[in-house]
Amino acid sequence: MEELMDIEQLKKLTPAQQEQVIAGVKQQAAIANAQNLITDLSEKCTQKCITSPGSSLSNSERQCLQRCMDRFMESWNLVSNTLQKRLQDEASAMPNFGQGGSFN
Amino acid sequence: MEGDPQLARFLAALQTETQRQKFTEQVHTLTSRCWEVCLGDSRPPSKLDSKTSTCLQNCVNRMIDASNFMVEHLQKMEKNLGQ
Repeated sequence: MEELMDIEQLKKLTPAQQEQVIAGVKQQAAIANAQNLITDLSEKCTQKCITSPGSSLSNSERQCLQRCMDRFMESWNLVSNTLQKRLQDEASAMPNFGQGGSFN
Repeated sequence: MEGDPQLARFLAALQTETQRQKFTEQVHTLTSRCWEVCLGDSRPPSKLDSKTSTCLQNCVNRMIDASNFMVEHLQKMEKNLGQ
């Protein structure tokens, strides 16, 4: 990403081009996030629910998958809210320090 | 750069998107790890009970604590090496 952030190049953009760049960044982020989420969701839930595969997908496997996906999305939202709160607390604790809690 | 408010706004918008994306990736990583920690061993429950919710919230905060702790420790190790 850094090599794209050439300030001299960015200065040359017209306002319309600037808007296009922002829209492109947003769209790419949305695609990447959806892909990540789907990959994670299917990995976690098939691992959990498809443990001894039969000749067809059973009702209990379907129910398990459904619950797993619902709980995963709930967990995602809870983690998101918790992280947001943590970052806000840290930012207000040290206002000159920007975003704390870098986690990789 | 100060002379061009349009450019400044554009750069600020880019930075906002970058930060938003960093945040979302952090949520992905944490959800994946904390899901394993808090729901890893069980069949998916019919609802998130308060015990599991607390586990997830604690997990997020302790993962960040652990990360900060390890960064501090690495910095100490680096200092000791330099002596």
